[in-house]
Amino acid sequence: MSIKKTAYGTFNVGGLEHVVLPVDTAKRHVIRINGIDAYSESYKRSSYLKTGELVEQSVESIAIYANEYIPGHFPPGKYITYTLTVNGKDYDVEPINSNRAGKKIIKRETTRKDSSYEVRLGEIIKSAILTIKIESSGEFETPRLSGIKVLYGKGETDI
Amino acid sequence: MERSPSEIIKQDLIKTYVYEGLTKKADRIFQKDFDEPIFNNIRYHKEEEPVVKEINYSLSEIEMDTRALLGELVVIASKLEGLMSSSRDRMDQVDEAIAIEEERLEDLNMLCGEESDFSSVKMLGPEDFTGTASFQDGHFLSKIDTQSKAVLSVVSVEGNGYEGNEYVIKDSRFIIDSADTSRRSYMVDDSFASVYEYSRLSASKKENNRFAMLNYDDKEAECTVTLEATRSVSSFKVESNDRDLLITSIRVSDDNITYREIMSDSLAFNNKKRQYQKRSGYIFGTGVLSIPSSRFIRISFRSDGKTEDKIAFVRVANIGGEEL
Repeated sequence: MSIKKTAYGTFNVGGLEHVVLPVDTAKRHVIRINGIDAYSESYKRSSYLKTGELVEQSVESIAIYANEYIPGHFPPGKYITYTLTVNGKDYDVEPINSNRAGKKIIKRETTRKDSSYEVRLGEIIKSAILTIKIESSGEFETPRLSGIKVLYGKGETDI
Repeated sequence: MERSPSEIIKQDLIKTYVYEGLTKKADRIFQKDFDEPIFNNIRYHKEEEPVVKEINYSLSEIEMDTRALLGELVVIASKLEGLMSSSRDRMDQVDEAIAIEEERLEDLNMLCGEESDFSSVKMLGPEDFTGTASFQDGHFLSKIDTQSKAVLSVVSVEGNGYEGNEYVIKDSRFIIDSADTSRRSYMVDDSFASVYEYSRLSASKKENNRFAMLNYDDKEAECTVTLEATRSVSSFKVESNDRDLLITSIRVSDDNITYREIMSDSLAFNNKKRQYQKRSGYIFGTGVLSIPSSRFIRISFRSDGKTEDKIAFVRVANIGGEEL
């Protein structure tokens, strides 16, 4: 008979007493793993993604948000590039949540000149297409990208 | 319609009896329903001489019944696994739909609003893009040229606790008696029904009921798992239902002697909310990690928080009360 099958009971087996005792103050920390898989993969050197038209109604500003995974052991380099084609013209941008330097927002605003952070068009945004280029690191490793979003914004009133 | 194992075994036995001229036996079995056992009880008077041949036939029929039963159990198990798999697929689809909507609302909350330059956000999925890049496990990557899954085995597990779910009770039963989570193979068996756990117990210093596995601090459970792949691998994926599980270190090796550190930061790889952190640097929620091509991977995990599990242990003592 399994002693453990009944808690809070006392059993005598072979001259021994088995008592199940609760530990009321005990807490359990647990590491739970459902599965681990591993892969051997090889990749094309360059790949790309391109959207269709992203602007349905004119907007005042536009930016890209993306989660990038460029492992720390990759050699220094540019692995993911973003190009927003706004009103027919290409602009290299960085995701707004990226720590890389570069233009993060494209705006209608005309009152000030471009900054290192913003592109100021001087016109409303009627059209935008996003192109993303991905470069692998050698044959067997690739950067990865998820949570890609387009942010549409309010502008500032022209003076 | 496909015949059941019981029907197949009965049909084969009928043919055998007919071939041997044992038509009465064949007829007896023919009359039975498919779920009736073949063997009929035989009785001998205590002064009667048993017929050895009949006893042998009976033993054979018992063996046939056992085989039929095993066959039926295999069929049922296979159907159950199929049902679990299709249920899981349907639930995954529902989960994904819910997750997309939750993320959309979270995006509006985190990225738009009065303090933000933005008033709306559009999520882009694989259906919004054309191009050559691949999409896998919820993320985009370079176009995959070749891909194969390696077979993994667990070389070792070391940590500050113990493997499995011993001492956890629920409804007056130790859970380990019905579901033991200490098997290392559960990490790499490609089955969604199995789970591996590594535990650490802590209690108050004022606790009266003490046993060897208790600790009296509040440290998290930590363990390091070393895996060996049948061939060099360049990425791996960790699946866990625990959103808060952390990977604290990844090291790789080709000979299981010299290891190279690839990552040493705490990564809540399963927590999608972390994607809103600035410079998050990871594709949260995918569980995928890249490594230089290697055969051995050493992953360190750490828990983040406590469960609501009830804990108990068995104290063994002589009847006179002397604890052993």
